[in-house]
Amino acid sequence: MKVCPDTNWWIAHALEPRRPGPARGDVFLTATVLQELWAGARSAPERAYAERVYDAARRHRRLLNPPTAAWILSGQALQILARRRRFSAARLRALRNDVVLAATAYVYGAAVMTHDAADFAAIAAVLPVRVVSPALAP
Amino acid sequence: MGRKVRKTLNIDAEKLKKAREYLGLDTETEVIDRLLDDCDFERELDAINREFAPYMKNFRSPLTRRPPPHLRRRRK
Repeated sequence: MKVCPDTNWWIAHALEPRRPGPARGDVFLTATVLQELWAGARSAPERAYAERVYDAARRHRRLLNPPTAAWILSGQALQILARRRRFSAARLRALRNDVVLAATAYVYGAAVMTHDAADFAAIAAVLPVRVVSPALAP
Repeated sequence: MGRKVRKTLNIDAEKLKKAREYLGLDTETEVIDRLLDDCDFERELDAINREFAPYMKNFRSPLTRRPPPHLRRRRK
């Protein structure tokens, strides 16, 4: 199963002890996650981590850029959420990257992997992407 | 990327056929190459994590809506 983890998965994953064994699913790094990693990289080691993860994903063809279809889908999903008036404009802006991540995963036939499945529930209600918890991923 | 060599493998032919069909690949060599690449990516990620884990304990992106799980637990 292809999975596109969110940024917090990458951080939590970096701190996990190694669990030897079969692959944990086909993990893909999305460009939105890369943006969030770089935005948080304040120290030299944090910047080196972001660079090394990017380099590994690029060399192994595990880097996914949102194609035009994902941008359009994410805009449509945000419009539906705005129309339903469940979220303020500020909340919608805060959701933007998660919606682009979800749309990118959907376009590439992948699932979103996140510790915050509930946060993605509203997105999954308007964009039929599969959302999985790290504990449930293979 | 290492050099390509010819290898003789004792392998489950049916399993290999199923994997080739599932992955949508043309050849059995591509199947093995793809799975080895998956393994190599995971190995490389583990190496990166081991190297950088001490520096990532307080990492938080200002663009995420919540802190990473380990920072949430610490605050409770």
